[in-house]
Amino acid sequence: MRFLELNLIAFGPFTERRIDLAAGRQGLHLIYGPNEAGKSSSLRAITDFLYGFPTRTSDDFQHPYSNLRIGGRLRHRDGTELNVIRRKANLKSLRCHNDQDHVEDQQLASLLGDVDREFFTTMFAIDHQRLRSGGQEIAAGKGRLGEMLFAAGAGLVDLQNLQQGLQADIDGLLKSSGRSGVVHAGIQEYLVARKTVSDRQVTVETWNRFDGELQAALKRRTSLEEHIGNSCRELDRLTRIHNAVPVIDRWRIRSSAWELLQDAPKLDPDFAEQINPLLISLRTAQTQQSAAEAALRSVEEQLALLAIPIDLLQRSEAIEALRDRIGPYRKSLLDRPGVAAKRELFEQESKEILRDLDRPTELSEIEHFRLSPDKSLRIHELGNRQERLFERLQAERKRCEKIRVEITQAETSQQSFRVSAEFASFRATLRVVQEQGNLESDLANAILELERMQQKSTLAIQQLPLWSGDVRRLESIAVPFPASVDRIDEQRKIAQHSTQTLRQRLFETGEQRESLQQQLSDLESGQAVPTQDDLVHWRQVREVGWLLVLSEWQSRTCDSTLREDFAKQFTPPLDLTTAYQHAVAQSDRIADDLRNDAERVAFKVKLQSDYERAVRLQTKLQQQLAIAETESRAVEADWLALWKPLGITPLSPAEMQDWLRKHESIVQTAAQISDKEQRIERLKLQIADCSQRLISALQQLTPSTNLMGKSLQEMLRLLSDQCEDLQAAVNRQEQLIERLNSNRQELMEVENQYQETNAEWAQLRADWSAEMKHLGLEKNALPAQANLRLSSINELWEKNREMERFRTRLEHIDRDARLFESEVQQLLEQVAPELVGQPTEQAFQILLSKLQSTRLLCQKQESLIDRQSELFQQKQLATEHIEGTTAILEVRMQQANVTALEQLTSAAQRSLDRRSAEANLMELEGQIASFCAGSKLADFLAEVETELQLGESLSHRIEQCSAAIDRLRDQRDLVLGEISRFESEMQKFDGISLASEQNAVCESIAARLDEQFQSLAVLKVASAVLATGIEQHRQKNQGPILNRASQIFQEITLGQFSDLHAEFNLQGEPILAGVRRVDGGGRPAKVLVDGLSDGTCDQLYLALRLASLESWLKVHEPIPFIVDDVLLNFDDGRAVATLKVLAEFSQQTQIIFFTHHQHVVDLAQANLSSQDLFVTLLGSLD
Amino acid sequence: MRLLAGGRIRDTYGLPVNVVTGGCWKTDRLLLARPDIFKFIHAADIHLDSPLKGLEQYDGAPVQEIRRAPRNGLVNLVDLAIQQSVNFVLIAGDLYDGDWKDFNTPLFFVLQASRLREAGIPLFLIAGNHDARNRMTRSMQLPDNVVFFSANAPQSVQLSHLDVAIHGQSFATAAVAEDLSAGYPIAVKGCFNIGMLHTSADGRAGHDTYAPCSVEGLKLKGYDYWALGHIHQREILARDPFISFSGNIQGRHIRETGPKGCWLVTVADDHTVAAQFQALDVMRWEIAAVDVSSVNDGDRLLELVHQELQRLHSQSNGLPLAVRVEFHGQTRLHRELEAHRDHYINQVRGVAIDAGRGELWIEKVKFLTIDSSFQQAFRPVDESAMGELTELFAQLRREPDRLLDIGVDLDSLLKKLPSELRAGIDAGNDQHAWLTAVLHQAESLLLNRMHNPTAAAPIPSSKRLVPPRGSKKSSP
Repeated sequence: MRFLELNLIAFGPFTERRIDLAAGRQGLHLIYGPNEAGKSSSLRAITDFLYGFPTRTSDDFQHPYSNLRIGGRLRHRDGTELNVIRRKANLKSLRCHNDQDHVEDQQLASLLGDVDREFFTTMFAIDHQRLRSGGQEIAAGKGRLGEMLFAAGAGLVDLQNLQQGLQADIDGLLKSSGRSGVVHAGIQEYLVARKTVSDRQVTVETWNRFDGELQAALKRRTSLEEHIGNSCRELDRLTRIHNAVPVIDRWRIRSSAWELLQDAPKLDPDFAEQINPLLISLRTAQTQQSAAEAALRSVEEQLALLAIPIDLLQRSEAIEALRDRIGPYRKSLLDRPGVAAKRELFEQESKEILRDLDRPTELSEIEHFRLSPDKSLRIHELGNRQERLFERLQAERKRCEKIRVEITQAETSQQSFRVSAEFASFRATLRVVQEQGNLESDLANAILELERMQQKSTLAIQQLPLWSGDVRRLESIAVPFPASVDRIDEQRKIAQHSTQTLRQRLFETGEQRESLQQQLSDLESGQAVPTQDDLVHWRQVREVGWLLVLSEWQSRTCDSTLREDFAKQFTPPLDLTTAYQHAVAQSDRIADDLRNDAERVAFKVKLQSDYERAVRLQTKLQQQLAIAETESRAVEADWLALWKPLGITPLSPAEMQDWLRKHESIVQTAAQISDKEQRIERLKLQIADCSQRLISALQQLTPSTNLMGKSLQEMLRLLSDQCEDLQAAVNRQEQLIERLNSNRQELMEVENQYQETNAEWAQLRADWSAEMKHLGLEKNALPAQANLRLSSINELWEKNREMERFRTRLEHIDRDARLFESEVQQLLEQVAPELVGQPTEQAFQILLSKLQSTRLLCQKQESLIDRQSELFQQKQLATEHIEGTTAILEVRMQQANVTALEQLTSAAQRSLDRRSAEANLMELEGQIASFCAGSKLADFLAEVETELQLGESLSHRIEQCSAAIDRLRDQRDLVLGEISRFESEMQKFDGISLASEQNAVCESIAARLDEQFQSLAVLKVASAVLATGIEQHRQKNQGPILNRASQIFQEITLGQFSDLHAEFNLQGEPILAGVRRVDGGGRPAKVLVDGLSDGTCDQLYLALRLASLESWLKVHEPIPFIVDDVLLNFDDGRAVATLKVLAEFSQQTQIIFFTHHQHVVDLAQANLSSQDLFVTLLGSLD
Repeated sequence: MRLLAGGRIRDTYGLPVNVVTGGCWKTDRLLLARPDIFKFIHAADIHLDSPLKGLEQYDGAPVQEIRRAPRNGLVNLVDLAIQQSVNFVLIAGDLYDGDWKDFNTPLFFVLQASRLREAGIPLFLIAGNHDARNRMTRSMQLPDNVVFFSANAPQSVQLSHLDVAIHGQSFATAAVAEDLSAGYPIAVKGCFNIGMLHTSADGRAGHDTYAPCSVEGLKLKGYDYWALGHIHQREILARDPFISFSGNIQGRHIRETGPKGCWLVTVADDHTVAAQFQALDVMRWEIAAVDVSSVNDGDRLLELVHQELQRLHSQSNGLPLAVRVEFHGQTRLHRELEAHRDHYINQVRGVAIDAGRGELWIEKVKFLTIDSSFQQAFRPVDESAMGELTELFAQLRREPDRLLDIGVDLDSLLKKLPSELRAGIDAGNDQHAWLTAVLHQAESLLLNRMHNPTAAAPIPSSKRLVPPRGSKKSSP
């Protein structure tokens, strides 16, 4: 593949910058650009064009991402060309040269021989930096040949770093000692975690062990607790007996004391308390009885002395009732004169009012003016309504008059309107004409357009090549289909392409054949190279010779003819023996030669085989070319035949496609002209019709108007104005009629209302005059007069009511005084006749004091009677008490078995003593029972007796028992401790998931280790493969590449180094050494890599790179080699030599050499032939 | 109640249970009326306290959720039984994990069985291959609501109040080669007959063959329901009668994806069976397959991962997820991914924390992409430096033994690992796959470092390194 053209359409600083790279067979293209000319951008453009833009690029400073475009034209070795544009996009970034259609990436990839971006940039691009790095790598690598060849072969510059990096990564994961690194740490962590899991696990054995021991301890506890229980019970029994012994002794003493008192009477314990109060009470009652009898006699004497007036007491209630009334009696006598005066005053004022009303001053006159409240309210209401009704009546009358005037005015105006009856027909005409649009303007436009089209058509026909004739004929002819033209075009292109390709290949094959022939003759020129055929031939000769020798030796006979034939094969002819020896020697020699010179033999065989293949290919290609040319001619004949019916000799298919398009366009234009002419005719007819209609309408409306010469639009405007005027008149008339009708309606309504109001008014007046007459006013009296009269009447009645009230009160006072006096006199006659005739008030006071003293006497009498009854009762009670007490005491004496009251007290004391002795015995027995623990008293006493008879003391036995219990308890506590320990151990096994959770941790470490281990394996494999690859590459390529690199190095160093060859260092590794020519004809010196200067190291790297690249190119599609200013450190001589090497190299693949330095350009132009070198200037020409 | 002792014993309810001939048990529950509908749970393969495998810890991973996952599945099972008031629960083998020795595990099981006891729910167990291997199975005293079928011969238990007969036989040894179901008694007339069997049926990939049997053979017994265990993937073998594996109740590694749980079985009066799956797992395994064919940059790749993880998270019903992310497709990004595995793994983990709101664990990131470029450039005939490497890798893929020739002794390297970890890499065909992956990765790493010398991957730190192993083959 090579570039024919690179077009920086929109990229970096460039816009539509074409770089022509088509010159030369492959060519060394020197692209010179001073700083800022965009050299770096162009370099990037090549990669981006071939492999697409990276996601982020800095080359968008002038053109946005979406506009970035790089175009390029490429040619494959087989002649295929590809002209495409690369744009910045994630998908479908490759387009056809029209920047529209998508082109599959694979098309470009196949041109690149599937070399990808990374491989391209490492292998096919070299800049100063990479050259320096490559040189330094050679210097640092101590000349290790394998690495050098590999680095140069792969375009690498830091192979050693790569190897060291891999080793460092491996060591980081796991050192070769296996004792450090991430994997080692992981393994340790895993083992620790594993151990933790097993520590946390509780095995079945552990569980069983703890469980068994716990069960045994529980059994021991049960047994010990039984023993403790038994001992405690014994201790308890002995303690009880020990404690009971003193109590039993006391019980026995008390028993004998009780026997002395057992005949005493068994009285109640409180017998003495019961009889003592009875004796005291008997004596007290006897004293009370005698005192009561003396006092009774004294009271009876006092009662006999008292005398009380009974009749006065019987009237006491009547006297007290009158005493309550004497206060009001006195007050009413005092109020009477004031009340009489007020009554007199009101009577005078009433008479005054009657006088104002023009009536006699008699009180009886008041009755004339009695009015009910309804009546006065009605007079007020009538007065108010009268005013309102009168105002309404006035307003309605005025409204009637106003409406009548409006009606008269409207009727007058209506008579003055008249509208034409044909108004509707004018309007229809107007609409019809308006709907047609602006016909005159349409007509004018159509005529103009027609003229233009006609001119265009005429011109197009004149311009149509290969044709003379008018439009009509052109329309009628039958032209070929564009598809047919395309088909033939395609066929022509295919035919041309295949012919061209075949010629190219024929040429290349011819060259290849010549080259092979030359190589064959070169090979044979020094020493003939034996072949396998030679060996076969001589072996056959030897075989024949052997048969002859054998036959002679065995049968002593030999066919002389055969022998002669055999001998003839040698010049000069030899005898059989010598000839056979010769044949044997010859075949052995050829075999040896074949073996010793195997490389050359193989090469010769290969050359011969290639040569024969080239000859065969050449013949085949010639045959194919002949066929292709025949096909090409047939296509040409088809092409001419296609156009023959038209009488046209066709040009190229592309041109005839254009002709067909032009023809189509002319035919279309002709059809449009015809349409346009028809339209003009129709428009003219429409205009005539419309003018006729308008003239007729306008003459009817305004006969006087002159319509001559008026255009259709002017007439239309006139008619439109007229119609608008008529419309306005009609609208006004309709409004007037509407208003008249509404006025008439309103008048009728107002008149009806007025009549209703008038009738109401008459009724009101009649009611009013009736009321006025009643008040004594005239019937036309005003409402105000009526109100005044009403208030006077009210005042009169008010005064009259006050006067009546005071008169009634006077009568009540007089009546009450008379009643009181008669009642007092009547009472006096009954109880105090001596006071009758005295003034009522005075006599009554005396009577009251008499009643008071009588009441005091009565109270004294009552208190004496009460005292008498009380004393009598006291005497009775004392007597009863004495009798009761005596009866009770007699019963007690019988109980105590005594005959006198005095003996009772001593009997009670003996009884108490007996009771006390019995209680003492009971208590002691109770105490003894508390020691029995359930057994009967007698049994217990017997048990005590038995125990006391035993020799050993109770205290000693109790101590022994207690000590035994303590020992047992200690043992039990120990067992309880064990149980508690076992239980707490068992509680740890409660199903918790510590172990299983730790197991999860283990698994996650294992997961990590697994992956780390894989990484380790990957790194180990990568490292080993790299080392092996380097070595294998050296073994396979050391010979050819080193030889070629030697030549290039010799050229670049201007012969200072005559050779490169392999040596071995102390470690037995192959290393590279150069052979330096010594000036002055001395013996060439061997120089190891570390003896080379920096510049020479760079040149050595370049030589190795070029040699490797050549080797690669032998079996691959060529890929352009991009070189960026690699000559910076080269002196002029070596720079020129390098340029020459590159020029030579450009025979194999295209070289694009970028430089900033003018002198590089100058050097190239001065030293290279113009057939190899092509210079392009960037920037300065833009 | 245990089936080991003969004679009269009392069951959970204090009602007498009788041993009848042929090892058949019968309860005398004449007073209890038989319900129209009864319910039971069929579960299997609990593998109590067996850890979740292949989950490497990293910052932000939901560590706590997985620690107790092996147990919480069982807790969920018991909760479900109590909440649904089922009449009994069946566990068809592999209650424990074979090698696990912690006695806390059976104690925990007893705790859970006791919860069922308090709720009056009997539990029927058979021992599977793992249980038979584990000594703890025989050592634990179980509550009296648990019926543990004998390993000597098939036995039957009859629940009179439900008219249900349950038949089962435990594994006596870890490897039972004969068809145990052949010895099961024929169905008890008038009863709903259930067979409990730990079996590999007619063979299932990834599971060892134990107690093989055929669906036809099981049908011949005339049972109404076969509760099978051993196969961890839920599967219905037949619907009439209902023969099924309930699968395990908690996925333990990436080959056990999707919801895991038990069958909640409702049996109608006419013995019609309705089995409804009930999820019991507390952490779920999923594979997020991301096609990166059309992806050209890392950001877009992570965007796709984010979308896929979000989708999985939204479907997980709030359960924490362990997700394996697999990149597929032919892409130019292939070598970039292979060469910067650690970087992308960490990126994916970061994305997971965001997409899963801390409930999502990246089990592993698998790079299964195919290179869409490059491999054409270096043909085997190519004797260039790069071609040499490509050819070498191709040779190693064909003949892995050649690794020794170039000085890579993976076997001795393997010996540095503890034996149980080595087993994961050593196991049969997986080793070939592992080696192939190593070679691919090595090739990409080498080529990438050669072309991008500055982009060499840093040495992985022990904390941040790479996803967990998943290639281990473990028998269920």
